[in-house]
Amino acid sequence: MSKTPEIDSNFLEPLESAMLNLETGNIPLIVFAGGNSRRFAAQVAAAINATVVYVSQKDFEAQFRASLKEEHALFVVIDQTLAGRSLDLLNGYLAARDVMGADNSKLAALGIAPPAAGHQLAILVDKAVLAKHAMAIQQHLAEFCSVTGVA
Amino acid sequence: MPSRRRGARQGLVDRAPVSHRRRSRPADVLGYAFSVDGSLDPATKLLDVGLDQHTPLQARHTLLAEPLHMSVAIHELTHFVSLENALGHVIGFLAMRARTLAASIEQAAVQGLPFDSSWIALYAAWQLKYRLLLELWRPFLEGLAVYAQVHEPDQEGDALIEPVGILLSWSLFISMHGPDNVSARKAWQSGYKQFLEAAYTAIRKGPALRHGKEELAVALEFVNPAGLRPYSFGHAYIRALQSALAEKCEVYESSERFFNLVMRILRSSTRRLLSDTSSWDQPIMTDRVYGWVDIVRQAPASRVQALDGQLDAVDVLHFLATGEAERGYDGTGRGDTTTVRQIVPQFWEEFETALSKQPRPAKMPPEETPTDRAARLVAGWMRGTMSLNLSSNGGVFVIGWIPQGLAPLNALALKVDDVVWWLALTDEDLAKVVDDAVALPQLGTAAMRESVSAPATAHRLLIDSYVSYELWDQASTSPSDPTVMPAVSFRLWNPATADSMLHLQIAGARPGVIGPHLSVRTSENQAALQFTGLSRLRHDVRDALSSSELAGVLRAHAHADLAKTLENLLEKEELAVARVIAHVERSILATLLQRVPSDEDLELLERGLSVVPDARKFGPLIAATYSMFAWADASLAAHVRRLNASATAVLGKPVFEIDDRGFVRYRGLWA
Repeated sequence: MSKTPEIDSNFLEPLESAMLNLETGNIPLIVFAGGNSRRFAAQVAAAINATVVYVSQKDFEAQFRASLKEEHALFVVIDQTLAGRSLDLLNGYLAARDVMGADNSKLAALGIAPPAAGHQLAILVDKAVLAKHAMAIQQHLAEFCSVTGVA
Repeated sequence: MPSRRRGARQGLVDRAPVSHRRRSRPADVLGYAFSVDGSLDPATKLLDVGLDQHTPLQARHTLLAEPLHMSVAIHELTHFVSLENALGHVIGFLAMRARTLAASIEQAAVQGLPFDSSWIALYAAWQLKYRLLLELWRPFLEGLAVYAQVHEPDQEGDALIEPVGILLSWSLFISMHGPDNVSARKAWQSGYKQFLEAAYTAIRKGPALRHGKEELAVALEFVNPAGLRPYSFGHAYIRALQSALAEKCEVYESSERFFNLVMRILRSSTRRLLSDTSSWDQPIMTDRVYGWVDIVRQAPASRVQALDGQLDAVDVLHFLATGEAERGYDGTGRGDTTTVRQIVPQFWEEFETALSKQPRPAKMPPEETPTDRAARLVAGWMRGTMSLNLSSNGGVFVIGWIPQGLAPLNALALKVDDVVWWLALTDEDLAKVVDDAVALPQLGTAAMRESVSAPATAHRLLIDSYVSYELWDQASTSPSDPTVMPAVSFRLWNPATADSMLHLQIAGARPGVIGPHLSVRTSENQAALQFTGLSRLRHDVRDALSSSELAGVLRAHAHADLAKTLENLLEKEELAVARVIAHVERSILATLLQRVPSDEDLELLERGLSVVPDARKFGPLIAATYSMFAWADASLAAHVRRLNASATAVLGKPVFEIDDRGFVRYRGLWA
């Protein structure tokens, strides 16, 4: 028998917001001021059976690519500065899911088919890690995602 | 691919597809890559510590003479004892089913029998569950095994770590032979001291034993080669656990007391740790498995101090977290299958359903339900894997026999290296190992009480030795006492007629007649369970094809589509396993740092102590002070202080502890 794991009370509101975004096809970007991204990912992913991958994982690209073929939720934890391939992959996904007009060309340029229709992505990042990114990247993420802050 | 494997595969076509075959070491064993290779297959608990083609006495001599060999044996035996609990039972259950499914698929493919993709999906599901569980626990299990090799032993204390206790039991039993009780006891006493001293020596030398080109401690601290990551981080985690416990209760400053508490936690807390979870590849699961240190850090000191006086079965982690003393295992062994069913209910159900579809065996009691049958088979598997093979294929020679020498049994004299072991056996058993007993030299009855000087005949037999945990069912009187006891058993056979094996145990002395000697196990259940059917199944399970090998067999037998299906599932399995490893490493890192790891911290996973400039030069000092203080002269002390300053600049703390008198101890990256 599986049991829903307990979720910290301060996560409930951002969780609700994230779930709403996922359901409506938006990409939640949840920023954690207290450095709790991993804890949130652990608790919430278990509750909704999402897959969790870290940008710092050596096989991040393989994990990301494989996930796009499935109709499920993927939590990407940005635990190191996005650069090169990891940045391209996320950019490609954001473009493919742009509510103002989907553009699959960036993913195609990486040799990746558009994500499965039911695929959902949430991006989790600690504020300190986000702050290390160039302002253009921060703005780009904020533009394409629905940003939620967690104290 | 090694030629041995090619040969086995070629043979596959000609004979039974899954009969005994030995393949190269599978990737999912718990092993240790010393120059003396060692491994333990967690599924079957079959051990390989380089003691094949050794008699029990040769094996003992090798362990006594070579600290490296003893160290490897302690490492692998730690795995064995670490898996005598719900964790080990579930690992064994999952692997047994996964690998027998693999064997069935292979057999069907090779023999042209009908099967379909549902078999592939079923196998992949079991295999995935097994791999996830193993990789989830690997750093813990390897870290604990490394700890057993390199800790600072408390030689004056009254506790032994369990793997040393098992080795010592085995050593004592095989040394106990002699023509009479007095000489047997003398051999026993001197053997005890000698073996224990050798074990302590191996442990004290552990950090400095060679691992490839470097000392073990250096290889661990610099995470070199990269394959040592689970060992290195697991060991750091185990040391952090000891620090957290010792901070609240000084009893656990003793390595032995700490180690045995960890064993108790594994026995008492794994049922709860593994239950009620949706998926083992979720980070919540890794936080739970690696949450021990945080539980101890948050527990009141009084709870940690109370552990020492509690019943063994009290769930330690639950008690530390809540103060509630709840039973973590039932203490009789009878609840083990229930626990497995509770932890992996869907898999148990599949197993039970599969059994119900098979023809009802003639010997099966009419009232036995599929549920009962599944429980009986799994219990048999668990009990069968409680037997640890230590030495194997040792050559012994028959000296002669005394018909009815141990009336009503015959006495057979065996030359085992430079001593004589006597075996009591019936005519029928004698015929299993000796073609023509009448042609053997007949000895006088006095021979059993004297040193036999008769030369060995050319009649050569082979012997294996085992340590078993035998169930000691005393539930009616004291259900929380230990339920298993170590015992030694042997397998003896004539290589010319290998199908007829004798399963032996040690029998007590008969005063005035003979000292401790060997007898044939007569308990059919025990013997059959330990050695015949289950022994074969254990080897078949251990030697089953890996997923990629199975895909190769499918492709070679015109099942390219199924091979592709399997490879796709294997790809998903590897991704899931990689996620588990990533979650585990980050969970351990957060515990060790006691904060959220930054992206710079992740470099520690890769490079270990290499992040500190010039640390490499201190390799020998790290090995020498890994588990104990050593004195450094003024010049060396000055170098250590400079390195500490450098480490503090990079890590925020020194890596060596050094006092005013110049005594130095390596603290590590995480202390």
